[in-house]
Amino acid sequence: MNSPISPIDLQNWSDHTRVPFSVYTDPDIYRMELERIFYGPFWHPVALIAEIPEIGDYKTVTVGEASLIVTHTGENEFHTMLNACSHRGVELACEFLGKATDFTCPYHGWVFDNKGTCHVANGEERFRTDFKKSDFGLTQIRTTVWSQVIWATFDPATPSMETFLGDAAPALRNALGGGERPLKLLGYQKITFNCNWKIYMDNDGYHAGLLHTAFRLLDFQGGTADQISDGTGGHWGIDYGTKPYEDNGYLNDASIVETRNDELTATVNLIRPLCQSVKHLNSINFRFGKPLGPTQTEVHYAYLGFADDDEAINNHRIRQSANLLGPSGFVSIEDSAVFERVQKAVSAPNGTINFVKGLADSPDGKRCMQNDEAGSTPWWNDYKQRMGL
Amino acid sequence: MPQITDATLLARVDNLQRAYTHALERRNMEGWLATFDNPGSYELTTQEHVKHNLPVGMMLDDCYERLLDRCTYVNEVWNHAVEHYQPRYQVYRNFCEMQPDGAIHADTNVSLFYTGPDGHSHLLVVGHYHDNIVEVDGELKFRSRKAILDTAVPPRYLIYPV
Repeated sequence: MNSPISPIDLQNWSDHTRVPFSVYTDPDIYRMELERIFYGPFWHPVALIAEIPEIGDYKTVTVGEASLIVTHTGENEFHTMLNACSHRGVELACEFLGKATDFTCPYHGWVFDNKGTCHVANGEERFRTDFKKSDFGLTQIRTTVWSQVIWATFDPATPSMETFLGDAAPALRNALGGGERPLKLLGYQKITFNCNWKIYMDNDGYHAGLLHTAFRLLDFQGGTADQISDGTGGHWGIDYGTKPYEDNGYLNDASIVETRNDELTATVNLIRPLCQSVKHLNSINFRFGKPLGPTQTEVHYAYLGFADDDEAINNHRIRQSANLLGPSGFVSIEDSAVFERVQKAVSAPNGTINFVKGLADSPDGKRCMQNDEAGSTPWWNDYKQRMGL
Repeated sequence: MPQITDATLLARVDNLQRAYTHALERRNMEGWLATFDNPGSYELTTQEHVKHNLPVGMMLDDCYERLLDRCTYVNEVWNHAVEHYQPRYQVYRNFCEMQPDGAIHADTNVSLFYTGPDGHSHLLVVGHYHDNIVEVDGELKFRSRKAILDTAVPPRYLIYPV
């Protein structure tokens, strides 16, 4: 039986709404993505202020395949640096989260303060005559702070955060409580998805009422909010709100899906290239992603509350966060399953992933409905051009 | 706290551990539930969370009703979409202490392997259990079981409790 949509390969890729399978598997494509996207004109979230709230705190993080240190060095002052000694390239910090005023290289004992300045270069009296420690600070990565998130980019041409996010900014800001109320870190769920990083981004967020059985069982169907796609690479956000849950008796402990304190804001955000943020019920999560080659993606779900939460809402957020929307969440586990099942299928030659729903009403995909696939097409249009494919 | 040396009591603790892993290896969630007291609780977290005092881990069933609901998730809600795997456990007892209130505090190492639908086997997680065990109608049950993983990033998503 012939498919109604004929297969195409990468050499003949002409329609950005029909994505060749090989884009999700090809090692050469992946190497090019590192250069043109991960080390190109995109801001990447590297830390939340809530993860390193005190001066002297640091976090290690990977963007693309680059190991970085993010340090809190003063009031609203943060640095992002290569996590590599400027002498012989040894990784300086190994801990995920820590506190340090300086970093000492275990190899030759060079010492750097947490702003990256080199203070000790052992044996420098015998170095080349023009050696100056001040020339050997850690490599600084351009850094900014937006909505309590610390962002970094390798490219000096990356536009401001406002331009970068465009009209996708309000939903992301709402996911983080509006941007002003101080956030508090509650914990993490870290996972390896056995899929390409773009499969993770293609297949989350837009489908809440379609894929997730729990949403249907609990009458949490969505589908009416606008999906707004904008900014560099086509970020998108849905700011759809939610209604209080009415106990239908399905769960023995329905308190787990209650929305308390009238926090009816519900948003889903995909920030290109590899970040998501979701606020649903009283659970707030921000997801840092990193590719592990062309067929695996590691995602760190950071769960958040607010610093001024009282004990009751804090405990409620903890219970919801641990159980609802993570990689093994009551509502969301099907995401994990679909990511990996798509990856298994795309190893075949000449297939395509097709984005079709919503294009009749929104040919450019910039404004569409929550469950539409059109909202992903601005990204694929940008990707195709950026990659020269 | 005094270490338990009574071989009969230690064998009963080991039998409870065996009932727990036996149930999960057979995807028998009712059997898993039967190893808990009511009230009872189950938590899955990581050493990283313990180190940084972070309360949100990977699973948190802090009451018996939540334990019941976890059985529903596995048996009903998720069954159509997830790729089930075959878990295999290796556990061994580190220590077992008698508490002043008569409860047993046990610490048990765990290594969990899994085999996917493709027939390939891998290590899923490594860690240890921190248990409070009580006697209920002549049977030992978990009043609370906290699984603390050394593994911060599992190689696939978890469907079942560890």
